[in-house]
Amino acid sequence: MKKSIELLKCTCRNRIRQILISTSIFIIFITLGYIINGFKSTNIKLLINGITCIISFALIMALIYGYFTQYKDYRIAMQLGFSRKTLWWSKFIELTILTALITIIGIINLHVGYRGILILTSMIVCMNFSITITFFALSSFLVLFPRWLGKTVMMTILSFIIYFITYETINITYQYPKLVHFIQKVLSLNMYFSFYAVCIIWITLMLIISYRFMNLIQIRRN
Amino acid sequence: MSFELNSKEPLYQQIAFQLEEMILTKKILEGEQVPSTTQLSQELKINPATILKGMNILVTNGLIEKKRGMGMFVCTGAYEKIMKQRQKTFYKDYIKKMLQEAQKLHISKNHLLEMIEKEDY
Amino acid sequence: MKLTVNNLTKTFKHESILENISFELTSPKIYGLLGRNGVGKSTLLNCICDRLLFKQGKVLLNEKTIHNNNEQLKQIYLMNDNSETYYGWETVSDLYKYTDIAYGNFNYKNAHELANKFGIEERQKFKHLSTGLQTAVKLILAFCVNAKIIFLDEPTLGLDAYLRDVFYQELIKTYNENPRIFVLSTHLINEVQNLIEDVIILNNKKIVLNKTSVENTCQLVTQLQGKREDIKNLLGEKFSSYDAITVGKQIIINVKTELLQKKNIPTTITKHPVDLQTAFITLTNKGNK
Repeated sequence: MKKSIELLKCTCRNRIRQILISTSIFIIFITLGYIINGFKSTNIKLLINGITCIISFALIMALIYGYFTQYKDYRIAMQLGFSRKTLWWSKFIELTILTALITIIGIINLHVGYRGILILTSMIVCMNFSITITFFALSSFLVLFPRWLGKTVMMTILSFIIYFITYETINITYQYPKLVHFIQKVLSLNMYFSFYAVCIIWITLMLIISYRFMNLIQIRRN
Repeated sequence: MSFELNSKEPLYQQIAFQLEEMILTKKILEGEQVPSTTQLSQELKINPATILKGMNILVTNGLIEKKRGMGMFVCTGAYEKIMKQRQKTFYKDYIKKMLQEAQKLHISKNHLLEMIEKEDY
Repeated sequence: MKLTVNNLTKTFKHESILENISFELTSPKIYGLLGRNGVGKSTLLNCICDRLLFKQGKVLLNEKTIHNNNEQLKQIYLMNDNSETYYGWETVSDLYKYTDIAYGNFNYKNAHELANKFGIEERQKFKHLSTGLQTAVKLILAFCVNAKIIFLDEPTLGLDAYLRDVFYQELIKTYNENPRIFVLSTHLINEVQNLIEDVIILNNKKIVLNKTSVENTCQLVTQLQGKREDIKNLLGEKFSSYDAITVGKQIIINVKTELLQKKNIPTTITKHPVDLQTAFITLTNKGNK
């Protein structure tokens, strides 16, 4: 859909602003952390680790913020004469790009040299994409409800998940033997084929749901 | 331009009347160009379709004509035509009303005639 | 260029707001959409422009549905009084850019001229402007956008008398330069009486007037002046003392002209024409159904 690229041009400035804001917030926190703890040993690997952690986390925050601005994006799209279909497509493209970036940076973070890297990568891609698209569906659903309800529900779920993911991610990145062990287990169970199948089915389902809900979005009364 | 428009009579009729006035008082001469619909609608802040409707009344009555590529011009003989038309309706528009008002105020016919005699006419 | 609305019915939580709305808009013309507060003018405009969804009825532009159709949506533009439309950090120039990206061929030259006339600094943030100036910016967008049908919902919201004058002037100017369909939905009827060509009145969930010029609308209502007794006899049960202005034994009353058909009006009662605002008030008066 070429029209969705036009819409993206209008909304991407907002998204970039969100990314910059969240990145700067994290940089401030990390710097504070460094200042408080004193500049201890800085080896390059740790530095790259730290930076990629910040960036991917900032991107995740921007991504999540995007779920909260569904209504605003809809209002802009509508004011500029874009149909709901185009809006859905532009959101989808946006999500795909952001997820890809997050995943790539996350993978740099792992700096693994194992032969399982291809499978690992695609599994991570699938998982990430499933997560983002699930939330796409969920937020499209919640936009149809009054603002306070949607926001509260989303906030609660997301805070929980963010906490869980970050805790586990940091855990994993500093203890990648555990991750490799997990992958080997999965490979030995010969499950990876059905893993992808399940992922694809789930993603398709979520996309259909988000599309349906997005077509029901309407202007709210002041 | 001193157009006086009220909001009770149909606007296009008022436009037609005012254009006739301008021809009658020689503010526009025969053969001269009448301001275009665009100009008038812009100046008076009136919908151009209404202006056009008013102008078309004059066109139907043969008072102004459209010259292709150039605009609307006052026809020759328009002055005479309007003059004759107004002379016909003078009684209804002015005399009758004056007589009604004079009757209301108990002004006799003689007194009326005296007042007319007094004026330099 | 023809916009057709066919049997549009909009309900909200099992209560109908609009019932079987049908009308047509043809190009080029300036329409006035009039209606009392809360009757559903904004709702109607939002339904036409695919912002509100409805289950019954169709909105067609040149015989093609507008709903979810980019091609058709890019030919119409709605300016409304909602202030939540943009993100909040945009400047006025950013809004020009958005509209240019979306609709293409944005008339920048005209926009700069209009910004001057309205007294707007284009580098200012849209959210920081006063209500009146925000409306002015929205008007600039509506006049310079490359669309064939422009809907203006409360275009004079917050505008002072001077800027309203500028708005009327610029409306005629842009209409002369680029004739298209304009639909004005406003409460200041006496101010727009000279600008609009056809009148559409929305009342009691239905369109009660359509395809009628301003003059013909005014002729639907007549003002009667005379003795109270005489007028009461003339109108019979249709007479309502609430609508009359009483001066001693004389009253002035505005009535629908159709009530006077086939009636002999005595010479003691005089008839007078009314302006559009008076006609509107009488036609939408609940007592005078």
